[in-house]
Amino acid sequence: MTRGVRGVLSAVRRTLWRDREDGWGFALVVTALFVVALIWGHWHHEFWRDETHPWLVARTASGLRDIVDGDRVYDGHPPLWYWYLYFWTAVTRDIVGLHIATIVAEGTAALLLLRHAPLPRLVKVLLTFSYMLGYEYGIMSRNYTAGVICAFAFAATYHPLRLRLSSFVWLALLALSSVYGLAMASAFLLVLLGHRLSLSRSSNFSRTVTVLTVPHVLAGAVLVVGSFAFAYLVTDPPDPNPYSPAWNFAGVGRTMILPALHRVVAAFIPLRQPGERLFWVATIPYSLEYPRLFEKLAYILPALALLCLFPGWLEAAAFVLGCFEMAFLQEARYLGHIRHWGHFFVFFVTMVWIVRVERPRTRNWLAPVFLLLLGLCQAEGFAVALWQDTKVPFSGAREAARAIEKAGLKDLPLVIGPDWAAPSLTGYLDRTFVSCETDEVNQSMVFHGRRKAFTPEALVSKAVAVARERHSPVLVISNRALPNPPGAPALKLIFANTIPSELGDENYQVYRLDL
Amino acid sequence: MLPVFLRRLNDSLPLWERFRSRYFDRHVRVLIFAVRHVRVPRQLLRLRELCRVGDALAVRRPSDWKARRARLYRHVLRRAGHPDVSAADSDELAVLAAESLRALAEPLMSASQSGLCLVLNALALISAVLLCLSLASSALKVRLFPVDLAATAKWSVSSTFPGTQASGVGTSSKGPYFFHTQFENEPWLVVDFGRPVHVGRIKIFNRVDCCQERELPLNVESPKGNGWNLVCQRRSPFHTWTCEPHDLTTDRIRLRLPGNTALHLERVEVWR
Repeated sequence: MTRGVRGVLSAVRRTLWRDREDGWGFALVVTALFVVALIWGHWHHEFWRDETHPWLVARTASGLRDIVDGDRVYDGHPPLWYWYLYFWTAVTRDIVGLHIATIVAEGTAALLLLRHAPLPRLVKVLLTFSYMLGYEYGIMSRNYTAGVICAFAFAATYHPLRLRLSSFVWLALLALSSVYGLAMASAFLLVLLGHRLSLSRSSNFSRTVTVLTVPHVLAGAVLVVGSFAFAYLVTDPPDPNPYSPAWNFAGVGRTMILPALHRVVAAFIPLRQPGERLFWVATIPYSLEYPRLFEKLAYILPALALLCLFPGWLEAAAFVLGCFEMAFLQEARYLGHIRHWGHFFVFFVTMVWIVRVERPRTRNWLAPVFLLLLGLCQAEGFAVALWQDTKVPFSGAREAARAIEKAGLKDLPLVIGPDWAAPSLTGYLDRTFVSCETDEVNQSMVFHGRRKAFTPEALVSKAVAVARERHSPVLVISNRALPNPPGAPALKLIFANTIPSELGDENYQVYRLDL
Repeated sequence: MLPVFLRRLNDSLPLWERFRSRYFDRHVRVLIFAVRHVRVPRQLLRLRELCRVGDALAVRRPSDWKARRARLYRHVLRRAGHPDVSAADSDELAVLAAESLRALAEPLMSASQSGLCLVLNALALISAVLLCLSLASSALKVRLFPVDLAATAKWSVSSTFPGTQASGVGTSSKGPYFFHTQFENEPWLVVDFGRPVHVGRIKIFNRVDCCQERELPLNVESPKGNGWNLVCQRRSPFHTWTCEPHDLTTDRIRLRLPGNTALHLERVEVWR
């Protein structure tokens, strides 16, 4: 009996700790479960402005080139995610397309991880159902999802002996996903070319290598460098403004290291407390309760992460370089939130993956154990975030849009202010709105500095002007109470969100103005 | 008359035969060869990968690397059609393998060149046919050689900067701009075609010497009742911007800036 139990336990251990897949069965089954979790999460998730904005830019773009030099130029993101969404908008203009596009992208990333990563199965399952991959890049719809899929695809195509052109292609795409993708791609390129260089430095470097591989490397390197240059040229907004500030090197220096390490801890251990509000921006909740432990973790976790990359000195150096680039960007440009810092985690997972591919016979037991512990913390964060997102509406936009559609008012001209509150609503309605701050007519807002300050009075007078110009009733929407227009009929409140949303500033009040 | 024509036709037939054999049959034959040997590129790629592994073995030097490397190259040479190779040294085998792969790729290169020639010939033929047809059909001529409707249209602006015109014909200039309004609230330019025309594309060239940011947001509008209907809006900086209205037939278009600024453009083109 005891021997039988031991046998079963041993078999379970072997199955869970198996780190090489020779078929698709396990990966497909776990991916299917993950996709079910994603569908459930998306079913209950209301998109907010940060998520709908790229969809709206893609939906209103006249082509792929318009995405490069159109409204996107102010966003501070390269165009890959917008291009991806552009193709989905050809399938459907409805916001459901954004849900599907995100699920497809993150599901594919999970499939690549589960099938190709040389990590124990248990670790891979926990990483798949992690807060970062599952919630921040799986349920939240952002361009960082494209970065995850490109990073994982690069690792999946990476080969210690054969240099594949597809690896370069994935690096080029990674650089076009986000500035964090650019930082990761530069580190991966260092690893790729570093190993190639170590091969070519040998005295036995034969003529065949020169004949067969140099054009390959050259073409790949040109592709990646071209992509880096393109990403640099099209990402920096032409008009520094409060939404995308200019470079600020004041904080760059030795003092930025410790805060950056704190952000690494926040990304590696995103523990969440059940029932916690603002869980999606709660950076380091336990740092206040256990400050000493947190301070120590800021040194211990990065040190352990570097040890996990042993004996890959090149990978460790590239990891440090990539993390430094990310910390530099955060300090000099935009500090960001947990969704940005999550790239430390994705970067680390991918680097461990590459080290284990590069040295298949070297057994570093620390890496899977460390990833297992991180995976447990991440899975806790994912479970709490998923549960919280289903209980409280993330944004009031979906409810407001449904109320407008139900009342048959969808076709009335929309005047919405402040304009940053509009994209969530117009995403669901597929309508343009008039902005009182910029005089623009658009589905989304554009983050430039050519704007007047928002006031409720200015919004109401703009609504009156639009109603007079179009000889039609107007819907006036804001996230705050509006005054009645002077010398015109009073505004009629037809809807207001009753349940406070997770985002405090996306509770809408919809008024009708009849002149 | 008719016998003369038939005789000429009869005489020209060998010419056609010669043309066919020279420019058509040869290329088609090569293409058929390429399609039949579509496995060659795949095999070539595979053999190249094997060579690369052989090279890496020489560099990393695992146990028994020399014999493994030689085995690999012999395999490559066998698959490339050289089963009997006398060389014993693995470095010599590497060189032979590289040369045999290059020889294997030669027919493929020749087929690609022929394919390219065939495509270019076909394109030239299609172009010649379309050119001939466009001489006969005015509708096709308009499609193939579109006319800039704005080149002959009248235009007028809301106000003029000193030294600039208030109206004119043809919306282009050799200078940095063809009109320049005062700084005012909602400056505009109206282009009048004189008759309703179908507008498929409006291409707007911003002035390049300075002040491009003034032209934002730029509205393209068409008349609707007593007012104007927004057709397109540009919100990001541009050198050239193409507005593609959906099914627009109009006798006028208006370019308007909603804010308090000056409007000045280098050129406006309107195409069917």
